Amino acid sequence: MAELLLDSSIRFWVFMPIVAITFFVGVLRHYITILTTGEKPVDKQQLADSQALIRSRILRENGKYIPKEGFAMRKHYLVNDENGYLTSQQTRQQPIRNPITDPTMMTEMLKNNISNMVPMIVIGGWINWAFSGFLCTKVPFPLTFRFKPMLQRGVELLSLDASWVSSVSWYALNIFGLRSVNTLILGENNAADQTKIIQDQMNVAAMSMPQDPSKAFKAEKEGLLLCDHQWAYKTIEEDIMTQYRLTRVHSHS
Amino acid sequence: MQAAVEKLRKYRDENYRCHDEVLEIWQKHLSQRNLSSLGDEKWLILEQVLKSALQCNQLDVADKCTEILAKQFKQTSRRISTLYAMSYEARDDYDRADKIYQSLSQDNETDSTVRKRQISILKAQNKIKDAINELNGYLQLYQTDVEAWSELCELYLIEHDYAKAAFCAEELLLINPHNHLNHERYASIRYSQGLYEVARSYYFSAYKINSSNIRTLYGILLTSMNLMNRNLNTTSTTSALNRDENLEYISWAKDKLIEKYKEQSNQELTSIVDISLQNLMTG
Repeated sequence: MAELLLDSSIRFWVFMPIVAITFFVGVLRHYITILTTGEKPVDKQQLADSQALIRSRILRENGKYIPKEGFAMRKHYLVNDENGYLTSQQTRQQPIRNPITDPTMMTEMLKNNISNMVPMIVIGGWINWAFSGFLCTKVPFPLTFRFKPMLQRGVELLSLDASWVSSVSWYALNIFGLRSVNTLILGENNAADQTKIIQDQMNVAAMSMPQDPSKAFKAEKEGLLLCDHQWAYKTIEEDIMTQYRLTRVHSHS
Repeated sequence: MQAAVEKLRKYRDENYRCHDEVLEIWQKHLSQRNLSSLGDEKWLILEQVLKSALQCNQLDVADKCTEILAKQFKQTSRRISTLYAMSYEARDDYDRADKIYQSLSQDNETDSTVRKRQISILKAQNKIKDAINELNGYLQLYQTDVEAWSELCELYLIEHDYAKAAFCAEELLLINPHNHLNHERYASIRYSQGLYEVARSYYFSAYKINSSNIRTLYGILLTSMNLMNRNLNTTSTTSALNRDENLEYISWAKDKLIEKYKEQSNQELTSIVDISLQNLMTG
């Protein structure tokens, strides 16, 4: 097969522009997301729910470090059948947040989609229209025939060597390849701000609540019911004293 | 200058409590310079210096910082408003500060900083009961906030409500069971209540976590003395057994204490400790 030579103006008018376009679109998108995602206030109920769950989990894990009375009191408060916190929360009616009827969720979703999908489609379509049909570059190793649809979208030539890359595929490769470059340039988070992190810590916990808290409460209640109190310090005095006696015997002998 | 900025960043990120030093760094290295080369970090440093200045009652430094910050940011910024309110607090102008906090908390009910500031205003005005009420309300929402539990514990201790303080201390133990200071605090509260057995267990556990905690050794000594004296009147075989046990603890704690003080190798101190220990034993 004859060796293919690319016109050098392809380099300046196709290859480079695609890299530049994808890069600047990435930068632009970064700033648009910063602009559109405002600080959203945390839902009070959600916050309370997540905090209660965390506290119950802590009680399960670290309950052995407090005396039995303290443990029993807390356990009763959380799981007793009449008015335990987890019991009452479990039966609480959940307002079902339907994304179709709830306009705030709609806009939230829309915002995400706008900043993610729309540029992809628009720019992708435009690249497809403006730069279609070019071969841009060649990967420096031979590839099998099955790579052709991946690397040569828009150039359907059967006899072409599979290591050539078409412009549209070059754009697709750039989208993924430039992501790390973008984070390198835009992600200068070393001036990250501590006060905000502290505030966010609790809010993040609230955000990560499952959609249906009653299920989480039920699981947590069952977990806590199964948990028995074993005081970790029942024999601590003896433990330390025996250790001490042992070392004393060793040092004397 | 770079070193100063880095030091400030470290203090800021890890919540060091050394406001004097922050101010010193500011006065020495940064206040005369043009900070715009730092980019956005400039504002963080200004905020940090402002807070430290308020803490140290250097109001002129604080005013300078607020001035620069207010020029940069809008008046509607929550953070700037909070800083303004804090400087009112530092001037004991609690009404104005509280007004700002109230309007802020109306906008956002879940802003924990603002609610904490409001509670601290109550504490500063010595309205301990109100502060306790508010803090309890706060803890209904933020059930796992270590700082809040610790503060509530302190407030109950001011009110001499040991049972409730002990509850808060238990909560601290649950959240952070490997901090010996939590153990020591819980033990001391139980000791004040006269529950010497529990107190001693927790003095021992604190000692297990950190064996250089002198207070725990004194705690063990005192709890054992008290337990022994309590059982002195009853004469049964169990109490005799108890007595031996307690005596062993006492002598152990005493040995350890003397050993620890000897490590410091301060002759004068060691002799004072010797005498006071003797007094404790006989007293």
